[in-house]
Amino acid sequence: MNDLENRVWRGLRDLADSVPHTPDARARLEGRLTARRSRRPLAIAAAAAVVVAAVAVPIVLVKPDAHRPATTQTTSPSYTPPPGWLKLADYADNGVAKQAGLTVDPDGNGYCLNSSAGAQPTTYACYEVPVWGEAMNPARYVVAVGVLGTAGPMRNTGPLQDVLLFVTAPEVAKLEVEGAYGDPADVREVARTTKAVYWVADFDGPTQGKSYTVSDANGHVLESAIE
Amino acid sequence: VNTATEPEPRTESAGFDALFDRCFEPMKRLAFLLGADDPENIAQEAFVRLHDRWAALSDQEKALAYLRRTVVNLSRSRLRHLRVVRRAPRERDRDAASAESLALANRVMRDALATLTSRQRQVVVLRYWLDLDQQAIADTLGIAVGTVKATTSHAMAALRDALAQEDDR
Repeated sequence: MNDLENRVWRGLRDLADSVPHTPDARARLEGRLTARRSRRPLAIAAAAAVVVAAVAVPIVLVKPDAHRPATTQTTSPSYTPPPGWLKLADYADNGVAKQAGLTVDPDGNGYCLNSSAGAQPTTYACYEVPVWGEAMNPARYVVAVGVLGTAGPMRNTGPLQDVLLFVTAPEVAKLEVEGAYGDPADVREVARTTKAVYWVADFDGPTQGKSYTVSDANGHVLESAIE
Repeated sequence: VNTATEPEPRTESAGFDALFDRCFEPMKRLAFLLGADDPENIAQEAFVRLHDRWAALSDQEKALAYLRRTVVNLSRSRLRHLRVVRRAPRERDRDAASAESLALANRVMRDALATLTSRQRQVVVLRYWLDLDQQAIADTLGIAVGTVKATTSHAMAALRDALAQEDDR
């Protein structure tokens, strides 16, 4: 190698050595793999057919290659969701089918995230709807949280790490979300009040490095960012 | 029967775990040298994707080649993604490190790398950091060996100019 090549060779090593070691890399990987494993069976079943009947009716998971139910998992016959309960996502927790859900306070000033798999939902976290718009500095139109909340027992290692609840200002008409590498997330609006709009974004992958853009009804961008 | 000399059978997960232990940090540094703003995330994602395909990869060399390609592609996607979104990304740990904490030589090299095109940077990093030969670089980037040669030549000329300018400051 000539002098320039030697300098580049040495310089790249010095630069690479400035990157700090990640002590918990294995645990982080396990968390990601666990999240994917937890959701995959449900995703496959959903692609074929998932029949969700009314309350107290069995959830039937159908194999892609079968015409009859392969597995039947039944929610508790006594289970009655609270008024206004909205399902955000299905997932499996140690083989038990569960649903992450949202309830919005009647006055619209707050909301709670919970999970149901039996008689009653388990509430993981409740939040106040923030002050929106130019009243904040910098102006704020969006907040995002994991659908199992920020305090739930599985928030870092469990399922649904790649599904986020976005809460936006009521003037937001459109939310676009992308993963770290530009892949669009699957976004759907789940509730709208005079105080906020609630959306679910399914990334099918890690949410770190996500970006989002929110626009009003006239197409004006209100906020756009990478996190 | 003396079984003491018999090696333990290798399991699927043992091979994957060994590769992770050996290559996670190098793959993270590869993403960093390619200019990605979150090399940790890219290395993690590369290993998740490798895990999905582990059964189809018959040996560790193929797995390593797959990892390299994935990190290069994810880094490229990430950089492209950053360019099209309006607001600058939040400063991350790497960037938060103050200029004082970086050796002058590191800053000079980092600035010189920043003058290269994306493809030039990829070729330089794969050649002079991973020590890959031209064929392996071509395979990783999905380009011809001739393109690797030409790109390397242009990149080194650009680096010579950039480093000379930095030295004159």
